[in-house]
Amino acid sequence: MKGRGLAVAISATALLPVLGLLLLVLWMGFWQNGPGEPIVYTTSHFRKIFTDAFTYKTFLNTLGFATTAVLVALFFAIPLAWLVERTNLPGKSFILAIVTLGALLPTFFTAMGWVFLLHPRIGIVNRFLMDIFGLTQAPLNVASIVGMGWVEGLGLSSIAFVMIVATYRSMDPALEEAARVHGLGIFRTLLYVTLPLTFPGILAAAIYVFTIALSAFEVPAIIGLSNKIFTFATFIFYKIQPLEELPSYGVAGAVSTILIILALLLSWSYFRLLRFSHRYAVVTGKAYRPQPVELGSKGRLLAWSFLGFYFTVAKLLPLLLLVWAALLRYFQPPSWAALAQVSMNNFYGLPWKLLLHGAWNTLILMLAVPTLTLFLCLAISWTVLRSGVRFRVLFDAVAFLPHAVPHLILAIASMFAALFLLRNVVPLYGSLLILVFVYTISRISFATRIINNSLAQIHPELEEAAFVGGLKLLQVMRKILIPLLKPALVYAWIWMALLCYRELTMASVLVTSQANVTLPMIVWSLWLGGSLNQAAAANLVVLICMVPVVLLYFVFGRRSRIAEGA
Amino acid sequence: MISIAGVSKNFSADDRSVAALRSVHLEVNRGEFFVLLGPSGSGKTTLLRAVAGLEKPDQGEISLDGKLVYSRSQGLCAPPEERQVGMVFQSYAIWPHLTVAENIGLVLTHGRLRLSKKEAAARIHHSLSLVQLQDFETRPARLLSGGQQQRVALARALAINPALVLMDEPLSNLDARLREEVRANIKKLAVQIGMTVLYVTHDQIEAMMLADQIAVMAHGEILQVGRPAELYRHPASALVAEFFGSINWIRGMAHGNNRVETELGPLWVADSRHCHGAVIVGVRPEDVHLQRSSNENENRIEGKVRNSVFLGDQIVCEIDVRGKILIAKGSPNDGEPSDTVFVYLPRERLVVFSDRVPSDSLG
Amino acid sequence: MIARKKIVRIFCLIAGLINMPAAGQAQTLAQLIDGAKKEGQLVLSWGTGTMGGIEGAQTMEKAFNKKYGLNLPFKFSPGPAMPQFASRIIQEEKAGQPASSDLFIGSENHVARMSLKKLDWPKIFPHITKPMTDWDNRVLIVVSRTPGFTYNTNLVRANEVPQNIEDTLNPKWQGKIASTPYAASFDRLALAWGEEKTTAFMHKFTKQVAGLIRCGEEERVANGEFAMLAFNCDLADANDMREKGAPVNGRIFKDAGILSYWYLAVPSNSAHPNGASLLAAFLLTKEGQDILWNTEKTSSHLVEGTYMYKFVKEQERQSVKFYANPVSDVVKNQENQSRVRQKFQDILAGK
Repeated sequence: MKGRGLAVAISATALLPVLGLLLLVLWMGFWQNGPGEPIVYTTSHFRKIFTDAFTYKTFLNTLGFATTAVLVALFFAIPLAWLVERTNLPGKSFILAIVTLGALLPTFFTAMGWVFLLHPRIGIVNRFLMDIFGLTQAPLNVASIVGMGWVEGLGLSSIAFVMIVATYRSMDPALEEAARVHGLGIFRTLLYVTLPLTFPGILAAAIYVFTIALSAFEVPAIIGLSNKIFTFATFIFYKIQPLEELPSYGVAGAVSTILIILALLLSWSYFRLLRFSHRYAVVTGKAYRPQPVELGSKGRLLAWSFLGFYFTVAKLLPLLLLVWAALLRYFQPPSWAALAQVSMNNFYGLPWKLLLHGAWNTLILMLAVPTLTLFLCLAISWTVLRSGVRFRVLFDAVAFLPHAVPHLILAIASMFAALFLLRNVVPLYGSLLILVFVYTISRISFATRIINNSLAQIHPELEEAAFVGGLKLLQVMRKILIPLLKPALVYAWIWMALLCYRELTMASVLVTSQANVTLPMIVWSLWLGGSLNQAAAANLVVLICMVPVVLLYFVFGRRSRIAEGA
Repeated sequence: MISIAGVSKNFSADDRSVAALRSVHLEVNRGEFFVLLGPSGSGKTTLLRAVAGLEKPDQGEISLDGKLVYSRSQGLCAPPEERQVGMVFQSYAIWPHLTVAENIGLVLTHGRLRLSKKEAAARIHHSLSLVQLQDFETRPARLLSGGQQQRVALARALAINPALVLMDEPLSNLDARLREEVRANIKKLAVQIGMTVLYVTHDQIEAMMLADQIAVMAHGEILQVGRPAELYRHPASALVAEFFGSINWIRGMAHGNNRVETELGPLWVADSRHCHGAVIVGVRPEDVHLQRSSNENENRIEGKVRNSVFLGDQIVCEIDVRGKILIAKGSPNDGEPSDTVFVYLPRERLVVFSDRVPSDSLG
Repeated sequence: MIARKKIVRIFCLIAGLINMPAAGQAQTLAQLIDGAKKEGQLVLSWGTGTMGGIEGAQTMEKAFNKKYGLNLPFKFSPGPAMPQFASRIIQEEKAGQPASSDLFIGSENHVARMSLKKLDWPKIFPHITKPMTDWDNRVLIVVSRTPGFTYNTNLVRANEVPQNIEDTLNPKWQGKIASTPYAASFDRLALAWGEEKTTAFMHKFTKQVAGLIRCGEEERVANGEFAMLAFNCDLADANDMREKGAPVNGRIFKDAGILSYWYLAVPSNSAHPNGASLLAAFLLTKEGQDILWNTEKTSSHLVEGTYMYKFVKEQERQSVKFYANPVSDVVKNQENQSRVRQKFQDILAGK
């Protein structure tokens, strides 16, 4: 196989920075002073953290919050994926479009919205329930760990859905059919066959959601702190962004180390499980498309109720609040008095020029990052699944790491790298390039999961036939693999573009100038600057611009079956 | 046992509709080993899956054991779990997350029967012993070889004592030697248990060895149903004839009697009354007899041996008869054929179709 | 390691050499204007909630260029919060990179840690008085703020509005008060009250506090989630919200008058120091202050005729005594002040 070395080399080049950045974070945790100052090593940060009871409280809060978020996200994502992938439910393109568009809603509106709904004092739902049942105390409290997890989980259900759909698609449908034929029925088949078999994929999605929740800031900051509930993310955030102090990155590094260790433990258990499940991939002998499960009228009603509930709480509600906020001068719960104040003022006052600049940068990122990531991940997936080189599992493990390491930490590490290690080599700092670089690294795991799934479906003989015919690896990639993987690649590309569009955690650390300002960063700084309503207006404008793009994708996608490609 | 009436099914792909089944009628009797034979794309797997309930036809009716399971007119389509069949999949569909015993146990305890664990254990053991895998109960299924997986799939299909077992090319993923062994085992089990089997394959040898009845399918239609020998000797069409092994085709003109004017001269056939105009006359190579001399005239033509290959149990010759090459198979005991021979084509062995020579598309 | 440090030093030296002459020579207004012309542009960045954000920068660009007869384009991008930004400029300075913003705005605690350019402001600019400068002419007071509390006018009736800070301990407000996660302004209270008294108060106060919200999230008081935010960072946000029609108001505690400042400073790694100095001086004129007032409702009490000038005078007339924390003090007492702040934060967080 000519060109094998090249593929392996590309994979290694893509994965080395991942390791490098992680080591940098670990190293950082031992610095006495800020970066750039003479390095004095200390273990005081760790001592301080481990001897402080507050750390353990925060740790438990974080675990509880992230676990709830995972459970909520999976609760919605698994049935949703199953309905879309395995049943005859009509309107699948519509469901996909809503889920995709829903991913563009910023979390901080959702968070504020849920405060309005479920706050013990001002929550509309609470007041309603108290009136009906004559309660003296509010039955629901969003400002709790479960409440925070609920809001975060709803936001993350889209991404969990995407990953789980891919898993369903890579499973031999005959495994489910065998259960149906032998009398198990839909529900038992789901319980005893489908769920256990898709478990590795669900677990991967769970880990992904979990780590995002670990470093999620908005919900813990808006909802958690209103009840003095700290998580690691808010803890780190106020270490990096205190009001009067300078950021103490050493402490942040030390806390990050704990998170990384947690994440590594997760990855390790994931891979142990995967080793056992690698042989799950039973390649089908036939190219038939499985007959979708027939939902009866009862099942259909149940499915639509479920979908309706999900779309209402996870998508419609935040969207309505976004519109509501954009039309008001200050954010307030819906009321007739508030309705009288509705105006378009927020739109007139928007920084259009800057938004245009941000849109341009964001567009470049949305084009460059998915393309670059796919290029690298093709090489990585091929190295892992096909090259037969030793240590290929190691490649897979490293490719999984960005999946498990909070993005905030990746961003901090690369900022340091750009400022102090690479400044004489590549002028990355403050450029759009550094965003391309870090975004790409952070998405490697996401893309490799999807490509691995699809590549495993393609029989190696298809490539081997081409190799035998004298084609080189690059030609095989171009002529055989890429066309065959196209649906999955396009799907992954679109999703990464969307993730790029909404990426804020990393941008908040790395955006330093007009040269690399992004749209979400503008929205975020409008919000931080105290004008939530302008932020809403800006976001609405951007969202409206995205609608035709997403619709175009589905119209075009239906024709070329891209929408089904995950 | 199985009664299929007017079943049609269309698939739409890329905005085009492809007919997978065209108004198929079929009757399978209790205890019969019934094989659906046809090339890929002939609709045989679709038909099998429609019987299993995995595919919903667009038209027609299907009943199993006298019970209607699908009817377009009544808007009925029983889900697979209510049809009480066993099924062996081409990919075996052995659940990789379970052990061998659990693979079978799951359908016993959670399928229609809802057996207790204890009852199930006995059944598991029994069905595994049928396929000689009783020592593998605790083995994780994913660690089995292909042949063993196939046997587990079979044991699973048999465990629920189904009245009907469906098999979808169960041998196609096995190597040649293993295939023969498993094939014999399947036949033995079928006879032993007395079950009804609907079996899909594209291999006519497999079909002939296993089947009581064969239905030959092509392009979503059933071309002919019959016992193996019947299909071999009396194919209803050139297509069927081609599908059961090699055959020589001779062009000719028929006039509604037993005599056909062919490119080899006049040939007497058993029956060609229904044929008028251009026909083809088919004769299988083993029915092309070679004689050194000829006393009689009927269906005897002089030819030259162009090539002969000795295959141990038979000799295959290419004979040039008036510019047309005929293939003949003879016994080696008859001795080496001489250069010039008389070809004898017995009239009861000739088949006549008003058809053109079928293409090689039948694989 | 050593080699790297050496490179850093050489780099800084070179950067310094390039910058020195321009800054060193500019001792008159004409020189500054001339230098600014050569620099060709201004790269600016601060948070959107500071100095009018994007809108403020646009207004400044026009007025500033008109005032000095210049044509400098402002390259403004919204930046992160002040401390992060200060840290970024410090790191950029150490890494030998030009600062992300030619002009920095921040509190005394931020500027005190930075490497800044000096300029004899009062000598070059007649409108800049000595009290407006601090830390040997490194920084200029551009905004004066008076932290107090923001309250919901529906939930807190006129006769219940706290006058003194102890009034927040009224059981009526228990579980309805918000404070900030960074314990804003309590450190400055300690300057007036002393650490011990403030700590004792905070232990009582934290029991009243239900949650922590940022300054700038005053609408959570407006919509009734909390009855009060104490301390806030300034009264400007509350006043702004009230003008938008929200049921909130902001007051200062009569016994805890605090003046906290935002300073303008030109980082030593500013790429366009002349223009930056001119802009800083411009913002201290009444014209510049008017821009800040119109866009962000902030002003300096040291510039005659501004809102804050009148407000502070009025409060002082009502015998409120104001305390401030000069940058030169911060430079001396940095570590102690940090410790106290951390302690207060821990108390509020419920550690």
